Amino acid sequence: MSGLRRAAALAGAAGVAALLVPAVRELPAVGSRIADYGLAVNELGAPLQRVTNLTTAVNFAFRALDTLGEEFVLFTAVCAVAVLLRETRAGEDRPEEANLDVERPPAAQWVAPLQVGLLAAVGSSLALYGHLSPGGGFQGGVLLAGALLMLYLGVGFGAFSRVARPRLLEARECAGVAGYVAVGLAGLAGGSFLANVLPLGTTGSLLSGGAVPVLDVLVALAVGAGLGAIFMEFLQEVVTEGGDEG
Amino acid sequence: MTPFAVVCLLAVAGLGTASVLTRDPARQVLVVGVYGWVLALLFFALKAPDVALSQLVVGGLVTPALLLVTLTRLGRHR
Repeated sequence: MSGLRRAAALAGAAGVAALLVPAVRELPAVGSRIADYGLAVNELGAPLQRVTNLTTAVNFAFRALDTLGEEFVLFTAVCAVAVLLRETRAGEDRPEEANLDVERPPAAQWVAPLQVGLLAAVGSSLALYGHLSPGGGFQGGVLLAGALLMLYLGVGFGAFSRVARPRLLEARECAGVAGYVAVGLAGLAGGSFLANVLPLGTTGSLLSGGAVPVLDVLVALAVGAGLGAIFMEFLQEVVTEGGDEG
Repeated sequence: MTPFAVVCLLAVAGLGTASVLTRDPARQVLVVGVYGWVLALLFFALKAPDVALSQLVVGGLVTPALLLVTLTRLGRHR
């Protein structure tokens, strides 16, 4: 940067600091005051919804409509990535030998396949127990997509593309999002969109919390498939089938 | 504010500065990945385990993977 620009940037930063430092000093101490909504969720959340993970209760029961919006954000992102990358790939013509799959070092070949099962198990458990312990559908779904990625990193693009078939991923993602909307429409029978119509069960057991575990699983399905599709589109930019891999 | 949270805060500040000062793009992706891990530790220290898990999976898995593939596509991974 030229000298004048640097001086102007530093002057701006000094101005922001002059405002920021007294503002930070007037903040209450960390954890000293919990907002009223937080207190209300802490007291009423467990009896109302019979779940023990209250952030999941807020995500999938009290504010389930916002989570539906977030799912559609991810859905739109996957659509955008697919449209953009497939268009550019259709336009250009790359030589056949370009970007053949590389040979993996032995460390990757040994460790990554072990991770596939591990990530799939942990991801599924996070999604299924989302209403009981920290976690939830989104975290579990991302780990499921990570298991697919480990397949690519450890075995090869051929194995990855045999599992991550685009049509299958699209079907799973749409099933997850449509299932969420279907649960919401079923809630119309209980009074309003996304109202809870399933039995609540006993707190702490796997089948408790009404529709919360169902929505957890649906979100995990949608997020896992959506991110898997994103990985697939990105990887197809740099790797083509063939070469020396499994 | 527990001492563990203070240590995590300092580590986050240090790693954030380090990721800005790393000029090579491929190395920067790794530093940003580690920064994401320590940020997840900070969230855990501040008693937000769900947020920590989200940060861990997104910042440790999705972001480095997509960044590295993009760098390879642009030819800047060397």
